[in-house]
Amino acid sequence: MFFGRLFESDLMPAGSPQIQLVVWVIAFLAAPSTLAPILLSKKYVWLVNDTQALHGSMEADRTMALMLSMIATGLITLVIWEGVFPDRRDGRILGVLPVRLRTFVIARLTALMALFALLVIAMTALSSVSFGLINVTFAGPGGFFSRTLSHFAAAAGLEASVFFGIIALQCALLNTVGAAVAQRLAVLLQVSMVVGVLQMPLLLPLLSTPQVPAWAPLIGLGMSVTALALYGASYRRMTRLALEGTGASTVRRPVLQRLVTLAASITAFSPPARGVCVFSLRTVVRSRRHRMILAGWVGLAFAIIAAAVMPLLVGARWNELQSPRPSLLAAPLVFIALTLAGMRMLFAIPSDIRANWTVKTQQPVPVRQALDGAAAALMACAIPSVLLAWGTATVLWGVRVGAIHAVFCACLGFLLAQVLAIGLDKVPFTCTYAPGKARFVKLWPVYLTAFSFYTYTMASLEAELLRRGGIYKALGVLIVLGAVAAYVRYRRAAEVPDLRFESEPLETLTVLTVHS
Amino acid sequence: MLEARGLSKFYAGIPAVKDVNFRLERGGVLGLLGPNGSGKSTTVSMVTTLIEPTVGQVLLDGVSVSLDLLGYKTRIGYVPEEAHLYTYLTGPEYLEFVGQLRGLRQRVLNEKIASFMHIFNLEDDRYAPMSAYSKGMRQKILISAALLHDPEIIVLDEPGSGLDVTSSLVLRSLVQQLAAAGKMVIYSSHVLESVEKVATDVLILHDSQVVAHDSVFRLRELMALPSLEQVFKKVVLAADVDEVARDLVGVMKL
Repeated sequence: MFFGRLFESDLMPAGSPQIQLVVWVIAFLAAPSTLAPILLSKKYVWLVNDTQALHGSMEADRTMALMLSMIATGLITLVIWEGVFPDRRDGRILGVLPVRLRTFVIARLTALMALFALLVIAMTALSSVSFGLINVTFAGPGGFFSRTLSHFAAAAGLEASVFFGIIALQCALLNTVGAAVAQRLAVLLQVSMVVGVLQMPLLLPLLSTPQVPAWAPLIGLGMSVTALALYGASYRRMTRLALEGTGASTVRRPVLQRLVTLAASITAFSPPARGVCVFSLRTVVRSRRHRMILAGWVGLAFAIIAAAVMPLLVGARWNELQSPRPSLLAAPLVFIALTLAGMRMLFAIPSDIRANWTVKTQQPVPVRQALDGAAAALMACAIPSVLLAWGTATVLWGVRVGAIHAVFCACLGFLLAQVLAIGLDKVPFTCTYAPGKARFVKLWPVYLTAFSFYTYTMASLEAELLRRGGIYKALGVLIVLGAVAAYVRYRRAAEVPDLRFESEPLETLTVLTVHS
Repeated sequence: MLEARGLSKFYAGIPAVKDVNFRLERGGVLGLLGPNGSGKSTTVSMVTTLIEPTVGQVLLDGVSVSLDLLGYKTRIGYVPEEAHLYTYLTGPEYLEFVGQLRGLRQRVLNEKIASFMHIFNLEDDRYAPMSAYSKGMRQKILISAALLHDPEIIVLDEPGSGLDVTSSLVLRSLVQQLAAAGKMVIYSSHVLESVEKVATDVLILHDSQVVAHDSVFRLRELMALPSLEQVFKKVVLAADVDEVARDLVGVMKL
């Protein structure tokens, strides 16, 4: 039972049988690790005559495999976050049964270990054998077992470090700072972890050292023991906290409240629009599922920006920071593009879908006002990036360039928010979601081109215009484009007769919801 | 006047409700009664336009509400049977969202929210998310949300669920005062005593059909029974309740 509970997460599709979810997860994780060596073998055929290049390439691929397995483990651990510790339901249902606490602790730890074993087998065992075989095939006879075991030990150790490290951190946090602070920190922690997991490519140099197979299992073992000991020791406390609730929620958060309200008052004008805008922002901030997905997009933005900025910082090339270069000017645009794209995607993912009767029975007249609120929420999400761009550019390049850069980013943010909101016919998070409607698989080249144009091409244009003059004309053009996009969005919204709450034809869904 | 004409709802040919008719004048309270699965919530959902009737229509002042659904929705206040709420919002935040969707001005809205929170003794919980609220507290928020915009029609589906004794008595008095203020109230409940006290008319559903519809007084008089409970037992209950209870105890002791 506890094994299944690990997969009961906000981030997992609701309503699917647990075993189906487990099989799905295993297949998802096992496929790349199994296929990668087969695909890579084609490359090794070309390098077989150049021993040095072959070994270098094999080492690089092995390192990449280690890093990917760490990222996958990290993401899986974050997905099962909610199911790791006893919640109120466990406390209420299991607490009254005549079973010793020790039995529950052992059962939960067994479930955790079983999941970890499954992850290791799915992600590591097959790829280790594949790497061993590749080694025998291309790098000469012998060494199959040693190479296989070496890769397996390194990968399993690193996966254990990530898996149990996150659980240990969660335990330590809940036990040391108390429930109230832990709940408030959990938001920051979860988002930081997603961002951190996506920054793991920065560990590539460390992972490529030959000592990895030696120290990785030791760290993994140490982390496992620490996490399991902390877990066992704190189980009773966790159960009590779950049953008693936490005092955290009664704490007023005036700063966050004011920021959300301020953002809504800047971007939305009618009461319904402000209502939908604030509701959207609060949902993203407080719904764990939405927060985690958005953190993924923000993490991706961080990773892209880090790739451009880190070489400058690491190499202490400070002189390159003295002039507005495209790589630096593009940073806020990358944030805006990915945050807004993430938000727009999140709009389609419902939150507390059974509560959508609230909007169904209280649709504003005209409904366009609600759709204005959704667009306003997108615009509000661009504000932090614009402010960041303003501050950074002012510090680096002076007040004038700082102001121009902020206006440039604001115009592009406004334009993108309007474009993304064109055709929207629902209040965010209130419409049922039918998976498989995303067009990313077909349209990814278009999205990638648009992203590249929006960020790096526009940043290059800005840098060039700042250098040669003409930036004010460009700002004028952007303002006109934004106004046109806003007009198109407004007209489309005005044509929406009724808000949409079902992503499928009504009849197919209502059959399942008959009640009296 | 609110009127239901031949309201029926079928799911894949299976009737959830068949041929419900009623008229509700301003200042009237219609009590909806019936056992689980009799079609009460389906009827309420059709009246609130949450679901579309397969056959029949709802009329307000003689005009079909389907002609101006959004306009009709602005005139309804609704407390659903199950308190599904955006539980990550606090009570005041939820009320603010509802009020803003209703287009209420912020100043008025703030004043109303503060008053509702005070009257319902929820002030201490104003910063807590509704996930931490008890069922009764959520019910108070739902009742506040339904009254926020001073609606003409108030649909209450099991509104007393989870409320403490004092709040239940307040609710009963509230329904009577709303009716006295000229509101049209639909009151669906399992609590026969409450319905008997507040309703001017009663509609009893059983097996998806209306089995009785009249004023409480006339129903008692017609069936020569002393209370609504006796009337309900006569028209709805097929089994002897004491016998069912005896069977349950028997199974427990197996």
